[in-house]
Amino acid sequence: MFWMEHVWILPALPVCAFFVLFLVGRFLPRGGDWLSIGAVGTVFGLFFVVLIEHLDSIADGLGGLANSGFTWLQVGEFTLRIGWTVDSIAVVMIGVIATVGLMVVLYSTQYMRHHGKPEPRYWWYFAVISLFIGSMLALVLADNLLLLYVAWEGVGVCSFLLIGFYHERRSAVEAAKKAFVTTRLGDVGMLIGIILLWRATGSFQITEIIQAAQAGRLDDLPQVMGDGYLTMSVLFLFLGAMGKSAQFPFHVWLPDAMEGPTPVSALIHAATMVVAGVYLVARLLPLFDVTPGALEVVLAIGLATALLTGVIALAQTDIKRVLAYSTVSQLGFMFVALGCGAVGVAMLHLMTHAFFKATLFLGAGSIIHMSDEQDARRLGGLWWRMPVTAVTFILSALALAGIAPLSGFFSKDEIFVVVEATQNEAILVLLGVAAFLSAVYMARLVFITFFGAPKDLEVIRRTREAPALMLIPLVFLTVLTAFAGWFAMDQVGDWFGFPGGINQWIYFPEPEAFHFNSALAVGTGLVSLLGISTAWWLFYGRNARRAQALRERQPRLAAMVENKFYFDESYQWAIDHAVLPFGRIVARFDRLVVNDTGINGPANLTRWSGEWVRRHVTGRLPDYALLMVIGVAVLGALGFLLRSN
Amino acid sequence: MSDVGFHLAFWSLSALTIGGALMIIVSRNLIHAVIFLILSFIGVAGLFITLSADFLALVQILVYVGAIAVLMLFAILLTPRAARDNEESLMRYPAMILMGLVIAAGVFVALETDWGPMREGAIGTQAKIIGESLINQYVLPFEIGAVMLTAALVGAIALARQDDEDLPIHTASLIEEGVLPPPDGDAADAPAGPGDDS
Amino acid sequence: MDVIDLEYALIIPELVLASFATLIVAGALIFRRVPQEVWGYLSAAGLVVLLVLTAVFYINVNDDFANVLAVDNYTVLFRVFFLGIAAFAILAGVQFAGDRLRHHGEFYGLIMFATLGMMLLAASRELITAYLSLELMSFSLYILVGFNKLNPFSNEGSLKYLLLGAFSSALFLYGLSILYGVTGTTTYSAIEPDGIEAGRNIAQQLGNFSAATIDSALPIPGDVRPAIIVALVLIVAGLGFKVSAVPFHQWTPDAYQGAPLPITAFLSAAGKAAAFAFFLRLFSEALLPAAAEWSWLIAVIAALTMITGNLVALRQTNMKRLMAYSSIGQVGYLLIGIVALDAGSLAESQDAATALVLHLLGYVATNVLVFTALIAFYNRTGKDDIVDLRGLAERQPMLALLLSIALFSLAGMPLFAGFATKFVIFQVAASNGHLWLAVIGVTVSFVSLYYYLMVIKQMYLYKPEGDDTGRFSVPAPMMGALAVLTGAVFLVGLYPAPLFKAIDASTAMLFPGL
Repeated sequence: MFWMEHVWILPALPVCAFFVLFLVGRFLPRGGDWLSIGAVGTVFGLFFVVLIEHLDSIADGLGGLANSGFTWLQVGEFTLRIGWTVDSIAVVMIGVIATVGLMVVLYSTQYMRHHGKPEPRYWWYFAVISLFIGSMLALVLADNLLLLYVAWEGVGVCSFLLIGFYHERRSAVEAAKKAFVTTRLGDVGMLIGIILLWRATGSFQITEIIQAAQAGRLDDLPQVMGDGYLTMSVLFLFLGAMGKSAQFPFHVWLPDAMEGPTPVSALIHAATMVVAGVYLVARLLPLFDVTPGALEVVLAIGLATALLTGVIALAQTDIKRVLAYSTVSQLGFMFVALGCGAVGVAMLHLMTHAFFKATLFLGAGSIIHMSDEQDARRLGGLWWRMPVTAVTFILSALALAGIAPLSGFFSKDEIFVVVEATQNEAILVLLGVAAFLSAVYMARLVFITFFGAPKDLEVIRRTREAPALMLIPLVFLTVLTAFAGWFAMDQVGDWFGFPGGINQWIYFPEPEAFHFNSALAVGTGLVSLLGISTAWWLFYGRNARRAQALRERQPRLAAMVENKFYFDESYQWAIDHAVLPFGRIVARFDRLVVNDTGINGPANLTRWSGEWVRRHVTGRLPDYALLMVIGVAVLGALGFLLRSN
Repeated sequence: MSDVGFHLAFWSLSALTIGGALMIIVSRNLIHAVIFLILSFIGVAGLFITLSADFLALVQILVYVGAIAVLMLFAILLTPRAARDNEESLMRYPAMILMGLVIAAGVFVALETDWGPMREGAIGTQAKIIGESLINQYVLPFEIGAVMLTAALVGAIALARQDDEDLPIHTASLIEEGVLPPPDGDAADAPAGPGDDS
Repeated sequence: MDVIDLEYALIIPELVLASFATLIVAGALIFRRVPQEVWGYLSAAGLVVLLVLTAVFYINVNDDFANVLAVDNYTVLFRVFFLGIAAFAILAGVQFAGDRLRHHGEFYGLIMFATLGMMLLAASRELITAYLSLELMSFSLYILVGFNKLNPFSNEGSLKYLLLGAFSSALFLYGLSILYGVTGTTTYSAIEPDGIEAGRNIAQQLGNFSAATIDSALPIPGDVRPAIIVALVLIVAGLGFKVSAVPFHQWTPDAYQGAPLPITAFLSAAGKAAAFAFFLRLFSEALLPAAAEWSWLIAVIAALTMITGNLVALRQTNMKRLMAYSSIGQVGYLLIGIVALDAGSLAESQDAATALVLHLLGYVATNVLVFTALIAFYNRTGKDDIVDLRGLAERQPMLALLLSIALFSLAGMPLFAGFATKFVIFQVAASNGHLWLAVIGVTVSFVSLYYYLMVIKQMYLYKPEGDDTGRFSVPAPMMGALAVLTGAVFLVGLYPAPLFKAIDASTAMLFPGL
């Protein structure tokens, strides 16, 4: 049990690597990338140790739980802890983070070089990526909401730094800012939610909050804000999850976030940043469970996101952008599963998605790295130039589309099973549409990138297969992509020593084992095949004229989809026409009605003379003083209204 | 002291104080304003006497009328243009209305509150008590006052002293940028700045 | 005549500081050949020595000087704090003063006189003493703001600050005199030494009044509530001016912009902290029994201040003005701490006081970090607009990084001081029944992130512009100061427990009934 109780070492290792790299990274040979690899590799190794201890503990009937930590701050009754919890959810997350993290770090050692020479700030890249992985590990291990929030913001800052890594490029900095501000907007809600929950329960400890919720102690809180208190605080908390997981209407930042180096996108999309929201809801699901209306909101948001972004992904031409929208859409699937109360299913999809999405992004990375091109319209026919990349990419795409027996099939099918069991047919059909869309956009991407005639001979000529160090992570992740889904089955789980399939393992209160609904399985399989055929009919090679014809017949709709339903534009408009003018109005009030012209710079100062001093300096002073008197008078009047009986 | 006499003294001195204060604000000419200020000070001194604070009354006359007001008069006389041409403020009438309201509120508060008598009883020989407390319990505030005056004096000299040495380096650049007028005072055609940004 | 035993030993740090400041002024006048840096470094060294000695000898003394000045842990905490800030301001300002100012002896001397006023202010437990200390601090600051006397910005800022400061003092004094009229005393502590008639202090008098309004059987006073309301509004207005709370804040941007940069740093850090130290002691030791009469008032001001400061900061183009409005926003958060004094129990009130002081210290350390970095930049370029920071990441990457850290901390990002301290203050507000203020605070601190990011964007996104685009170096003493401050920002952000405990032990002094 040593490692389960000293699990803080896992996040500490990459964080230490960060500090060393930050201080001396630029002087180390190879920019210190080996330090980063070593730290993450050790975490990867320790994951298996923790996993074995965890499984032993379950086998011994100890429940596989371990808590550790210490008091960070204690004043009176107010206690803040730094503490860690290991349970099955945390173990799955550690596995995903460590695996994808290690692969990404290895891959980056090649990707961040051009012709054998490291890019500028190579050391800084590895420093931040270590911190990113460390923060994410801390996030999933935290046993209280406050520590979780701190790690949560740490993840945000790292993503800000990594997305803006190429800070010479204006678009990169803008994207970084957008990602940061958008997720922070959710975080504001989350912090408010944490404080509200703290008021209700007097604790930041996740287990205590959940216990309080389950014991019904949160139901009688009308002394603060009436009956909606719990719902409100939980929904505030959910805002944070929505922001981080890029759910509608916060989905706008994720596609822009691909401005960072491609391995970073793999990390953000698969293992670190965006799954944090799913993790948070999964972790707090018992709380959501007892909150009236909360699960319905989660479900609705997830479904809306899956559909909306699925449609948008159809019309994108940048490889990474298609993948980005597909991530948002798949996260929507996970939230749907959570909305049905099925933690295990959501975690399964999170895991399989992490593997195939990491493969897809790293594959896209090797295409971009080798061909210097990421517009799918100028690629095409690539498969025979880079066969290994093509095979891994296609397998992962099939997994995402939900083709048996790849992992995506199992996890998606599970989602359909729980939706069928708990929700009505309309939701099942809508989810089917979303699954159909994901098959279409993935098949489209594969067709126009790897098949058909090359559109640009220049590009195809300079493209070679990626170097071995980039292919190894790809192949490794592809193997996982192909087989990870089998863990859903009881027999496989038992064979590996898990107590039943992954569902059972992750969520004990959920008694059901893996149930294979053959009708649904066949149905979803057919939907996926139908999607792929549709994509073939519309986009494969010369068939693309059909898509073109379709676009010409519905130019408005096409424009709307291509412009992502104008979300970015409308947000920009809202900022320009609502927030900033509001600031301007306050500023104007402060400066004109209340304040003076300030110290106005050279224009006024050229008239620096006795005349000017009298008129502008002393002349304005009475107005200042007058405002103070008005302030006193208004406050006094308020006082008499409020306080004198 | 008879009741009637006391009331008469109180009301007439109050009228003197307040009337003087009003005239300070109303008069355009600064010298007139200072004269009214002196009147107002004398009124306050009189009020101190009615409260049997004769030492304070004396100090009021000596320090405020004798020293401060005279200093002000000198300052005004040495600043040729300051005494005249004071413009009207646009805010004059709003300010008057506001002050009227504030005064009304003050009167209301004064009348509504049960102030109660001084809990310490009458003060005997004023100067002795003040002197004693200034070297006893209130020795520290007294000394803080001394340090404050020192600081103010040091600062005032530092600000007002004509430097016999050259100007600091950056003044030349300020003149170049048009921030400061050139030595002959002509800076009309300096470039316009960004101006008000709101 | 009751003779009080005057224990001068208790105020040795103040006496030493006053003499030291005078000696520096005189020394610089007499020994004109000595380079001015010497006086700066000498002053800083003297302050640091005094700081260490104060910290060593005065912890847990808990006595008072003639019942006008408390020498307790709270006093010692702020003595140490103000001495430290003054030392930082002087260190950061030596090069600046050498390049751009005259009369260096007076410059350093006045900084120390202001520091003296601040130390006394935090210690006062008597209204006249407090008022005089406040004026000592303010007079020194008025002069220091105008110390760059050939710069019209500086003159204008100083003049506005002086005239409005005098006006606010008048309001404040009027409030104090009404309070005196109601309570008949100027002593606020509840602890009375022998030899003075028992029960003569503001807290007790106000306690009697509030008891009287509940239970009118008590014979003491009639209805004094109108007078108390007016007195409190006036006192809050006067203090609101000193801490630059809305609507008494207009002097702030002008004075900040006009003042020489080291003085802007000093003014925004120590000046504000001193006013808050006084604010807190007055409102917890003396006025707590009347909490119902002022908590709504300060709550309104706090909300206005947070919103106005952060929104107007969005529109600023000058770095000093931006920092002025950002500090106004921070004042709003700090005022929440005062509001939260109004709680169910003394222990909860003390939590609020602790949270307030913690945020104050964290904010001040961060703010001094920002200004020290800006001074380093200004020494090289002589510019202080936000656009002038363009390309700083290329010209001096370390400075850009430290400035970014400080700005992130001000925006309340975790890992940095700003998050830990702000969180504690919001948490206290929520638990003491002022949840809506915490919600406003969290929301506007999101807004604040936007304008801090604008500054960071200028540093990292753009190429340097103009004729001066080369790299430059920061002198070692300044780099040392920056490193210490950055360390403090991280320490408070990551492990505030020791500081929290120290503050808790000091604020316990403010609640003798605890």
